[in-house]
Order: sequence, then C-alpha cells, then structure tokens
Amino acid sequence: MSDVAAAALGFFLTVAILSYVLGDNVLFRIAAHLLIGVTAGYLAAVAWQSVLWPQLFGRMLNLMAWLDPALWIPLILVLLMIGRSTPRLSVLSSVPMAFLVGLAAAVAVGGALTGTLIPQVAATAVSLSPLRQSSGGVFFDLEGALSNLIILVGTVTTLAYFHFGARPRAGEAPARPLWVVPFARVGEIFLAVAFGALYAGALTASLTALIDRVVFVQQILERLLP
Amino acid sequence: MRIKASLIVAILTGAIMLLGYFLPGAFFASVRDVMLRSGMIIGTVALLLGVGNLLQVHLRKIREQRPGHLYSIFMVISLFSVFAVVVLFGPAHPYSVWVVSEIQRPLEIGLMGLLAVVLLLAGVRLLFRRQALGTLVFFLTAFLVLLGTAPLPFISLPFLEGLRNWIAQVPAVAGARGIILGVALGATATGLRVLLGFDQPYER
Amino acid sequence: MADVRCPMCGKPNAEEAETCRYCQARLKPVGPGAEPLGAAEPLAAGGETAPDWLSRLRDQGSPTPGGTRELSGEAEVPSDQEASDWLSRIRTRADDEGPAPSGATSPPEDVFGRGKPAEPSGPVPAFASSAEEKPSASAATTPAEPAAEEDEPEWLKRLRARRAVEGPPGTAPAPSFPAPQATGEGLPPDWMHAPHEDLATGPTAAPGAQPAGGEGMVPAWLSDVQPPAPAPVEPAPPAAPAAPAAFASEDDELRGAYSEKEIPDWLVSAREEAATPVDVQGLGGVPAAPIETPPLEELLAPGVLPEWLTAGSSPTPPPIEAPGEGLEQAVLPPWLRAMRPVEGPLAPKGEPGEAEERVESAGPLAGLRGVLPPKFEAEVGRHPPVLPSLLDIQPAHAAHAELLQRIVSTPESRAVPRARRRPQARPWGGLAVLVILVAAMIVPGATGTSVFARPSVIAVETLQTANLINSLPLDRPLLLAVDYDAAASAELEAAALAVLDHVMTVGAPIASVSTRPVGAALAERLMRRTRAAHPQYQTGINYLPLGYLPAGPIGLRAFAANPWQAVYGQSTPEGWDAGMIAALHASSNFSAILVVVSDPAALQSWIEQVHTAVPAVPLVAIVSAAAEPLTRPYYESAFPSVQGMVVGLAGAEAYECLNSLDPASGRCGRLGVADSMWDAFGMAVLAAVLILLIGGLASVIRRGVISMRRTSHE
Repeated sequence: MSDVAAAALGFFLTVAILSYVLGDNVLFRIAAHLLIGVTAGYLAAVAWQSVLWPQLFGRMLNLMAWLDPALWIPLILVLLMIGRSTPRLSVLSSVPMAFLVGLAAAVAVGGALTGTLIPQVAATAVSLSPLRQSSGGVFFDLEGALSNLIILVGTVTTLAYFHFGARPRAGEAPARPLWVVPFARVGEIFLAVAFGALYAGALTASLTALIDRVVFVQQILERLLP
Repeated sequence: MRIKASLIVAILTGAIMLLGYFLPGAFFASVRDVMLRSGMIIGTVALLLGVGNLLQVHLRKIREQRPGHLYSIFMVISLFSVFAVVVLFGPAHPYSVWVVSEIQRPLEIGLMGLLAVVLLLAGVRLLFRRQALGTLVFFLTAFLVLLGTAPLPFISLPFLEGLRNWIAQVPAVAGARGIILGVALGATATGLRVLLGFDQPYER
Repeated sequence: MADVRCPMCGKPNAEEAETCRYCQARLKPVGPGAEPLGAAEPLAAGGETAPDWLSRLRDQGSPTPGGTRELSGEAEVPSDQEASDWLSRIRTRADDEGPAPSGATSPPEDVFGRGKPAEPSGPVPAFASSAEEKPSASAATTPAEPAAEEDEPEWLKRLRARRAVEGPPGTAPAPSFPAPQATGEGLPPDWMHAPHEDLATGPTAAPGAQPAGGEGMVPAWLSDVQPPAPAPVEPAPPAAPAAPAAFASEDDELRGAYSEKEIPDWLVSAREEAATPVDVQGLGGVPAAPIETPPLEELLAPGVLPEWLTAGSSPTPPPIEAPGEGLEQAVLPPWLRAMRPVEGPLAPKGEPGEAEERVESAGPLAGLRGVLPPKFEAEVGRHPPVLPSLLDIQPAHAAHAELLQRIVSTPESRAVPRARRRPQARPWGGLAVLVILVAAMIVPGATGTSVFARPSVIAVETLQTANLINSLPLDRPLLLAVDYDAAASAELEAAALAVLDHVMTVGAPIASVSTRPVGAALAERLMRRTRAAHPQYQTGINYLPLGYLPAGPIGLRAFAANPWQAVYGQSTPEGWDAGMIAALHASSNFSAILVVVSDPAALQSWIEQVHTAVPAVPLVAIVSAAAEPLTRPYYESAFPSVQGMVVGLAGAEAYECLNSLDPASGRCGRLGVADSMWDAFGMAVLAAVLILLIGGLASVIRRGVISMRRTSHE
C-alpha cells in the first residue's frame, strides 16, 4: 500500500514538474512550494537533531560540560546572534557574524593556498621535454610533451584572459594592454573548449535525470495499463 | 577606520586560524578546535535563522492573503510536517528516508530533467544569435564530447572515445585549471581583505 | 535721440515710446492729432523746455477740461495736454488750500482755475518748473499760440474764452485730496467728479463731456459743443453699467450743451443709469441751483476716484460714509471685483492713516494727499515687480479651486490595470524537444532491445579507483562522503552503488558523513540498496553513519582535526564498536576517502580542508559528468590530489562491467543501475546530438538568410 501511495505521489509530482514545459501553471507552483517546504523542514530538523541538540543544548544538561569552552563560547555567540532583533543587543550582534566570517576567511585562504594554488601551479610546471625516464630507461614521449605544452599554454593564456586591468585613454575606450591581447585571444579558445566540455557534461547529467523520471513513469503506466 | 569589537574579533580569529598552518603546537590546536566547533554551531544557527525568515515571509503572506498565499499554505504545511517527522524519528529513519525518496527526490530529479530541455534549446539558439570563433569551438567541443561519452548503436568507434578522452584530459583541463587558479586567487585576495579589515561584510 | 519725460513719474523715456517703461503711463495720446500732455515734450540737451500750451495756460489760467476724454469712457490716461491743464489747476488749487483734513471742505475753487491759481508746494514736474523759470520761453512760444490754438479742440477754445471773461486765475492752491467739497463759485464743477469716478469703478459708460463752468451755469462751450470725436481704435474695457450718481447733477449742464437729438448714446445711457437726486431741468434749460460738491473723502472712495489717485490711501477701502446727496456707490462687475487686488506690495506700510496724511510735495501729484512715496529712483532699469495679488476670491471661484485641488490630490481611484504578464515564449520548442527525448528514452524499454555496446575501454581513472578499492585495509574504515543533492542521485547512485558494492565485496568497514542535510538520508538509501546483497554490514559494527557536518569548509576543517568530536561531540551512540569509534578520533585513521559529489566546489572543499590535513589518505572521487571538467585538474597532475575518479553514468557502467563483462555477449554479468539505463542513455544522447546538429544547421541557415535579406534591402 505504501508502495502504491509512494508511486502515485511520485507520478503526480513528476508530471507536475515536467508540466512546466507547457508554461507556468498551478500544478508546477504547488510542486515547487512543496519542494521548498520539504527541503526547509528537513534542513531545520537535521540542524537541530544533528548539531544543536547534541553539541549545544543537550550538553548544557551536563554540569561538567560547562567547563568546556566549546560549550559556553558558542552559547554566548548564539545568544548574541539571536539578540539581533533586540535593539539593545543588536549592537553586539555583529560579533558572532564577525567571528564566523573571520573563521571562514582564514579557512578559505589557507585551503586555497595549500589545496589549490600550490598544487595546481606545480601541476602546470611540468617538464616539456619529450624524454621521459622510467624504470625501463629513457623513452621518447612526444605526445606527453605536447600535452604538457598545451596544458601550460592553455593555463597561462586562460589566466591572461581574466586580466581586466585597463588604463583609461583619452578619447578612446579603456582597453587591455597590447601585449595581453594575443594571450587573451588564445585563452578564450581554451575557455571555449572547457565550457563546451562543461555543457556536454551538464547535458549528460540532466539527460540521465530525465531518463530516471521517464522510466519511472513508464513503469507506472505499464502497471496501470493492461 | 573605526576600531570596533567585531573588527578585532574577525582579525583575531583569522590570525589564530592562519597561524595554525605554521605553528602546529598543541595549544594552538586546542584553541583552533574550540573555534572551529563554535563556528559550526554558529553556522547552523545562521541556517536556522534563514529557515525562520522564510517561514516568517510566507506566514505573513498567508495572514495578509496576498496573491499566491494558497501556495504558501502548501509550503508551511509541508515544512512543519517534515520537521516534525525528522525531529521525532531522526534523519536516517525510514520515515525520513521515505520523505526524501518519495517527495524530495522526484521533485529535484524532475527539475534536473527539465534542464536537459533548456540546455538543448539554448544550444540551438546559440548558433543563431552569436556566430564567432569561440562559439564554433564551444559547439564543436560539446558535439565531440557527447559523441564520445554515449555509445553508438550497432557500432563502436573507439576513435571517438579516445578523442573525447583527449579533449577532457588536455585542452579542457588547461582551461579548467586556469579557471580554478583564478578562483583560488580571488578567494585568497577576498579572504585577506577580510582578515586585514578592509572589508567588513559582517557589519550592517 | 531726445528723451521724453513721463508725466507721472518724471522719468525719461525714448521718444518713440508709447508708454513709460517705469510706471506704464501713456506717453502719447491714443487719439489722432492730440498732442501728448506734460512730459511728452522733447527734452533739449541740458535743459528742460516748457510746453507752449502749458505756459499759455498758466498765463491765462484757462482751465483745461481734461475730463473730456475721461467722460468719453476711455480708461487711458487723458491726453497730456488735458491732463496737464487740469493738473495744473489741481496743483494751483492745492497750493491755495493746503493740506486739509479728511472731510474738510476745500476752498471754493475748481481745478480749472476758478479762483486763485495754486502754487506748487513741492517739487514740481519739470514742465511746471520750467514754465515758472522760463517765462521767456513761454513768451517765445507765444507766436506758436495761434498755431496751438488752432490745434486745440473746440471745447478748449471755449473754455479759454470763458476764462478770459472770468479773469486770469490766481495762484490757486493745488487741490488736496480729499479736497473739493465746498460748493459755490470756484469749486470744481460736479461734472469734474465723473472722470475720477469712472477711473475708480472701471470703464463705465462715462457721460459725455463735462463742461467746466461755474455752479449753476451752463458753460458756453458746452452749449456749442459738438459731438465728441469717435473713440480711438485701442481696445477699451467693456463699459460697466454703473453710472455715477454725480452725473445726475450735471445733467442740467449737459442739457445746455446738447440738444436732445445730439445727445450721444453713451450719455443717454449714463443718464438713465444714474440716480437723479437732483432734478435736472434739462440740458438746455436754466442752470439748476448750485450743486453741492461732495467732500473729498467721498471722491477718494474706492468707487469714485481712479486708483492712481487713490493709491496712497488706505489699503483697505475706507467705508463709504455719507455719500452725500446725489452720490451713489458704483457697483463693480464681479469679474472686475475678483481682479481687484486687496493687498499689494505698494500698499503703504505702517498705520493705515499715515499714507492718507502724507501730502505729496513734488511731481504732478504735488499737493495730493495719500500719494505713494516715489520709489522709482530705486527701480530704474529694473523690471516692474511682479505683484503678488491676494485676490478677492468669490465663493464660486473658491469652490472651483477646491474642486480642482480635490481632483489633483485624490489618488487614482479607478482600478489600476493589472500589470500585463509578459507573454510567455511559445512552448512548442520545449515541448517538441521533450517529446523527442521521451520517445528516444522509451524505445529501448518498450522494444526490449539493446543495441548499444558497452564501453570496451575502461578509463584510467576508473581503473585506478578499482585498484585502490581492491587494496583497502580491513582494519580501518573507509570514509564515504555523500555530498550530492537529490537531483543528482539518479546519475550518482549508479556509480556509488557500483563502487560500494565493490567495497562491501572487499569487506572494508564504512563510515559515512555528509556536508548536506539530506546526505544522511541519501547515504541510508545507498546502504539499504547495497545491504541487500551484503547483509553482513550492520550499523555500528562495520557501518558507522556519522551524520551531518555543518558549516561547509569550517566543518570539514574540524572534521579533519578530530572527526568524532566534530560529529558527535561527547556523546556515543549505543552499541557501536569501540574500536571503530576509537579509529574515528583521527582522520588519518581512515583507509581512504570516497567522495561522491555533484558539485566541483564540494570536492574542492574536501581536497583543501581534509586532504591537505591528511595527504597520506588516498582520496577517490565519484563525480557527476557536469562536474568532471572542473575536478579533473586535481587528478591530472604530477602530484594529484585525487587518486581515482568515476565519472557519471558512463563511468558507472564501466565500473559495473569491470569485473563482470562477458566477452561473448559484450554485456556485463552483473546488471546494475547503470546498465539498466544504458540503452535509454544512448538513445537520449543520440537524440540530443541530432537536435543540436539539425537545430544548429537550421539556425546558421536562418541567420544567413536574414543577413542576405538585410543586405539586399540596403
């Protein structure tokens, strides 16, 4: 019974969502609002169930836990954050947000430096020599060398494309420095290749999702139809 | 630049966290641990405040009976229902999993499926509206990757798979790496501006 | 170019100017052939010349019936000659009489010289002073007298004649307003009152010429007077029906001058409208008894004297008291009443009585009481001030204004048309694409055919993943990070189930965590589907669901430092394996990290926050096809952050077939989710490629046609 109800509900919701192809309609709006409500409700419940209760309010019942600064520090900050709507406490309500922003900024800076910038720059700075060494000796790898060269040129020119610094010129529109222009043009081609691959991947993923729904509806109809 | 308590807190917090990359001592580790756990709790409360604001907006819409308030009723009822179920039974309980599997999943997958229609229409219009070298390269790349990703009926063309793999591994990687480096540089610069006090997004 | 001096303000004007640019008084007469009075005299260089006629008049003392034009109903300033004549009489009379209190009787002398001529008691206009200073000039102009006399109107000649009979006028004091009240010989005739009354009340149908004569006498000139000349072309204000009552007293004089047939219409109408307190015996009859001249205050009433004479009087019109016999207050027409300014900047400040008491001592208004102080010296060269007018608003006008105000201020009452929705784009294109795709997806399932070959070449990254799974230690848990949304579950569950199935086949313990709220539910879905084939996996034993990790990178950083504390804090779920729990206190205890992501940013966070903390722990990624381009750079590196990748449905299909491919049939031995979708996937992608190809070609052709049409038009 629950399977039938689930199937019927899934069928109705799938049809309601796909009806958007015909234009905005009541069914689609109901389905969209239902999605928002379910998502928000699940989010709030998980936030309380998995984080706030076990790590904050549940621990407050334990007197020994009050010795842990990881309890009363976030508690104070939470109270300050909730007091944002109170005129008296609103002055201090920026302190928890400042704490969070400072923490996130430091984590982001540290992670970007150690996790992306250095490794990716190191990955670009590869040998362009076609001679490779392996346990079997030295061998000629032209394809590898060319690939490395293309990756190096592509990376540098793509970064050059994102150079938007321009000096104002009298009587003319601001433009890039002349020496950046050819690099930017080449970088534009590499960007087009990257975006083309992205587009193909997104289309593939969305087609897979559509297949899931179409097959589901097909199975429901096969059950219903003789 | 006015010195405010929030500015001092932001700079101090960031400094302690960054120092942890260079000073792996136990003291700093414990301080960072407390700060990180506090940040997790603060982030969760911020998330709840966002949900509360959403609820407030829709409740006001229902109370004032503005156009579309009937949809808001759907939203509010579903929110409270799911909240009650998940809080009572837990996120991994079969009831909670049922809500995700039978309500949220079909809706989100359906929206993802609509994206395929939109992407195809956009691709067709792209050649009509903008005919440039970059557009042609974009179109050609997408064409080749699609052909190399999906199988062909009755025949198999390894050449297409190899070409698709080469495109994905060399030129696409070059372009993507440039994007990733640019994003990382921007994130670093933005984070440093916050940590040095030039930007104060936490101030009203 | 010689300048012309204004008779009113005495300021020089251009010769060709018709009105004074300072006070707007007329400089030239409106009638043909009439000489301008007073200041319309060319000023010689360095000197001022007196007009011949003025000097003659002064000598003769002959009155100038300046009321002739006023009697004709014209609102313009009387001709300069006429004005200067009676002005000089006024001045003469005022000098004789001196300032008189309100209501006091003035000496019995009219402005036309009956009685002593008045000495100007203050600064006199140039023409007057020059007339006194230069009698020789007047003598020199004597030869011009005959010519001037010839140009004079008839009535003026007769007036002169009468004066000659009566004798030269003395230095009559300049009349002071309110002055003429006494009756009797020497007083200004009653008809003299008429022009002032006309100017005060508006253009009324002024009666005809008022002869200047003594009381009770019909002037000889009036008996012979001809009908006045036709009025000039200049637009005259519409005549008001009101007629001054003073005219009634002059009818006997008029009758002497006019016969019944010769009486002009305007005079008849004025007579009819005028009240006749005095029995008029007829124009041609015996002059009536002496008519009592009303006091000057009555003349200065707003309805009697012209405004330019009463400008110095109180701003609020004094109540008309005791109008006297024969005087009746004029009735202003409503439209004129509304235009009359009640207050103005020229209203004298200070006490209302001050303006009345002040006697003008210079200029053509010398001797008059209540005249505004001359301000024109300060306003030379300036535009006339814009006078704010507090109009006498009639009730009807007020009602109209209020209605207009209400209309303007009332917000739009009518229903505002609802903003028209932008018409949606025709859905035919989207519908057609959807129909084609759905049809392509349904065909393999409906026909039961499988015409699409499975992948024959396994990608390197997929092979590396499989190899890594094969080498997992069994004493340390594998961390399964379920970081994708429900939308990508259709694609990623296929690969995740294939890899998880492999892990469970190997037997490595699993710990799951997610930075998404729905991650826990999705992880439970995965485990429920794989546990069917691997029932040995029990929660707390070899499967530890760690739940939700909040705050994104911050939570991951905390998890990297101490996974157990980041997730559960101090609490421990019941029945869990202590050894497993102990292993979760350090992220380095994980055998590998299997990250399932649909978003490249999620994988980037795991790499930056966790992998950098524990670089020794291998990280394998199951990514969506949409996230592959931006995640592959982490794999394609000499020092890769990601040791293995499974990309999309194709990677899932390849992984499923990795160990179970049947070389004979070319199909995978163990059917998985990816395999069940493979044919539909092939058809859908093929349909999409055809749509793009055909649609793209059509777009290019259409664009070319449009361009050709545009160039052909040009």
